[in-house]
Amino acid sequence: MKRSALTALWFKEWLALSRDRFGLATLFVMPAVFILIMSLALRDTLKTSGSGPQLRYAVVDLDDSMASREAVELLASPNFLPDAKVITEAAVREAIASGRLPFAVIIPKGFEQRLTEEIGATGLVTLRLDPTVAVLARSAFRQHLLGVLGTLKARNFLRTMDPMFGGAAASALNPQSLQGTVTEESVGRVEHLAPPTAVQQNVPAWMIFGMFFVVMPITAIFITERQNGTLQRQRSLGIGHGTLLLGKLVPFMGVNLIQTVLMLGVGVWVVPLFGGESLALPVAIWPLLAAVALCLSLAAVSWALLVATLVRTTEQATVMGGVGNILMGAIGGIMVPRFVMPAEMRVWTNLSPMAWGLDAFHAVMLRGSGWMGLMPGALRLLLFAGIALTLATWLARRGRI
Amino acid sequence: MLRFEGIHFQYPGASQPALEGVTFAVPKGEALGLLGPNGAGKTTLISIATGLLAEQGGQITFGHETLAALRRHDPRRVALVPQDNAFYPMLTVRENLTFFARVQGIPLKEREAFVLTFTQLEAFVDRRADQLSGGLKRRLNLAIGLLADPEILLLDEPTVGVDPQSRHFLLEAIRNLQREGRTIIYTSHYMDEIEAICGHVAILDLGRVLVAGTLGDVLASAPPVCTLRTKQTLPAALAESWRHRFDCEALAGLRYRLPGVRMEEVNAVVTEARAAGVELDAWAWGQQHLDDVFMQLTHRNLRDE
Repeated sequence: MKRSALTALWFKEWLALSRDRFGLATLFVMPAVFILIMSLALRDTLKTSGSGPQLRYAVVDLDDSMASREAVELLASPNFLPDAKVITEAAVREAIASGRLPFAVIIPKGFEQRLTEEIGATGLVTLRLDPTVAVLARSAFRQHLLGVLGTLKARNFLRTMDPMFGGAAASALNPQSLQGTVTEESVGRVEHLAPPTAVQQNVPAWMIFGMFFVVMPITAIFITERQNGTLQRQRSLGIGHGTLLLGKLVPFMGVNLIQTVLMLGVGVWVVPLFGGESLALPVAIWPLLAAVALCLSLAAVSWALLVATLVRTTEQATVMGGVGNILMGAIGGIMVPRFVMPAEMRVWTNLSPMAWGLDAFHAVMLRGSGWMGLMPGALRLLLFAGIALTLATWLARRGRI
Repeated sequence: MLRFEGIHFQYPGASQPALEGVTFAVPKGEALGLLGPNGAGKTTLISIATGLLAEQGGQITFGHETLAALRRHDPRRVALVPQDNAFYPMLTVRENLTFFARVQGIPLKEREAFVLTFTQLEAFVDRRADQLSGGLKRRLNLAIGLLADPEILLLDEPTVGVDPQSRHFLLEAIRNLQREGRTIIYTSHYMDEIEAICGHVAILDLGRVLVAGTLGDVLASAPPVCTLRTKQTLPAALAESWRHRFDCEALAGLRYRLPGVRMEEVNAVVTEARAAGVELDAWAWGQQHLDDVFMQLTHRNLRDE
């Protein structure tokens, strides 16, 4: 009887869920939309390869000297795009104030003279900037500008020391020529450098968020069943608490696995349609992804069953399930990527099961760590699922369902 | 015989027991009406009978076996038709029946046809349960309870909120179930329903049995009553005399109830009325109705849960 009861419960859950439009929208549309929006919104910010975000800048050359023209020339770089239309101080102020331009370099009169005559000259140029520009971008442009001024000083020094040969050596010296002096080495899969790109961050992150949202339909079904007496009726028919919980666990794990496939599909095929980067998923990592998804699903559904046994009303379910998920997402690096958090905040992310899942996905997708790499996250998720399921069963036996 | 013996139950944290030594019996194949004001303990008793709660004292037996053991061996022999429409509103009638049949391991085909015919739901099998009328919902609730062909049927206010036609249909159906030999416990606040279908009655209040037995015994436990319908209001002197002698009570519509009148006093009462110039439309003497007995036993005070 137990097997027929279980299959009946599973089939009933599928039918009920397939007719719950809002539940389906929460489980499938919400994470897909989040993946699309966040992957596109953070496309440039989380770029880790290529020419970078290409921030625009303008130069107002009030000196119009050989040195200032050299400075203008050296400032052009793959990461920073000059705006040739803004050439006066008034235009710079207006462009920055209106948010069209993040940076402008003002080269004052006497720039060349001070560069050649004063060894420790300060205030050689003025950097005007939009105060809302991210600190990292501001720092990057400032470093680039310092590199240009350092190069100019070095060129000037070479020309002064050796008028005959120094000119050629000076011309060969530029900020780009220094790029090759540092060799970068990534640990793990060489084609993917940590931190993740927008799509590598957002696809698993919002997929996990969506998986944990099974808490909403599961609690809603439990509350309805409790209120209309169907749970009591099933109990009076001799259906055990464990069978009732298992009747929800398996169908919703199925829902989670469908979510996984669909959300990865959104990352691979849909995000590129809107101009984003495609999620690369080599066949070799599919079994690892499936293992992580199963552990995550078990944790998410077990958590949902625990919440369902604890709450009595829809309001309680919204607070405990919905708000609980949002908090887990906030501290778990779903909404704000973990690597942009300060070190003291990153410690807190370890409290969120969503972060454990995200770590396991990143271990597979970014670092190519294999089975051993996903173990820490997967084991934590399984332990969490075990505790949640045990508590849910205990509460159910104490009459909470 | 379905026998409840000394059933005791107290909810955790409650100051009073919900059931205290509840004892009564229903002969096999008979219907018992379980009556009581709100908070009397009816639902608690039904919950214990269906295994949703465990009795803390006493036992329920059916024949030589405890009901708990009987349910353990074959849960399908006892069925509950709960007060709520306990089915899935998003599923159709057929899907609900399929689910509750499969969950009990019942071969669907043979029982589905029977319960659909019995409750006359054949025309609505593909309709979603939330789109059924109140009466049809009650019929589906009953149909699910009958899927297992139970020997003992516990019906908890099965006619609440239905129109008179549906109520009549349900009562007739329940009467037929009893005629087929099922042992039925029927809780309701509608006394006329109990009188119509139950040969046995138990009245509970504050967790105790006030009276239990055959319907005839319970009705006989209250004295017979004389009722009059007059064309004029009773003169004050006669009304005062009857109030003093027979506990006379004036009802609406020039009706009077005289519970203290013995059979041999009826003619004298009629003669006194005529002598006082009161014309009688009708008069009667006999057993009280169940609602009168119920109100007398439960002392008429309001019970708010």
